[in-house]
Amino acid sequence: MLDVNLPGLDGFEVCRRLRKVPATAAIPVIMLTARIGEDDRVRGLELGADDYITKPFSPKEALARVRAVLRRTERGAAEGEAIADEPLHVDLPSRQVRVGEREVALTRKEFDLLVELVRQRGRVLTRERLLETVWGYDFPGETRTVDVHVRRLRQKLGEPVDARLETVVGVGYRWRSAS
Amino acid sequence: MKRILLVEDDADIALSLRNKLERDGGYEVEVVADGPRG
Repeated sequence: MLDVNLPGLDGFEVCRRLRKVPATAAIPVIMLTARIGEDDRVRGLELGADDYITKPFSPKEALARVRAVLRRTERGAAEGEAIADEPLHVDLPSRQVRVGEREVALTRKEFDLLVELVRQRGRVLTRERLLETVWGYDFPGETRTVDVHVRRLRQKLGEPVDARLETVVGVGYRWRSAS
Repeated sequence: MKRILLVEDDADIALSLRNKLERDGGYEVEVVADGPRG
């Protein structure tokens, strides 16, 4: 749990550094802040925070959010399976992604977004649904967070796999399987 | 036991949160008050 306004190094920078190092990249992060602007919330989430609590908050609410974030994290880790859509391979326990022989380094949220899209292949997923399932709670009015992550995901996956992540204009996104 | 690192420079918030997470959540909580130590 990470306060944003910290002496020495702010919480955004601490979160960014955590996500950059493979050994700490998967640690769940909840940001705590008195800042309530949309830009701050989006920034925290885009840096890889799993949840965002605005001060003042009750310890009871904080505990509930900790439990919710850990449930989501453990559910993902316990699945112990791999997803493939040649040449894309996603190993869930190790959170490793390959396109052919090329390893693709994704942030925590990019990985979760990819898994959700590929699992629901063929179905159109709205931005709101993706926010709820990947970011974990309803986050109205900030669907551009999804767009930013989709853009980065396409860039990292590269051709020809990037084309499978289709934009459905006015609705959301769909993973179109090769098979 | 699951461990939580709480990086918070407001001592009152840190104390109340730590108590709640330890007592009702059963977590082990370590508190630090600045970014570099976090």
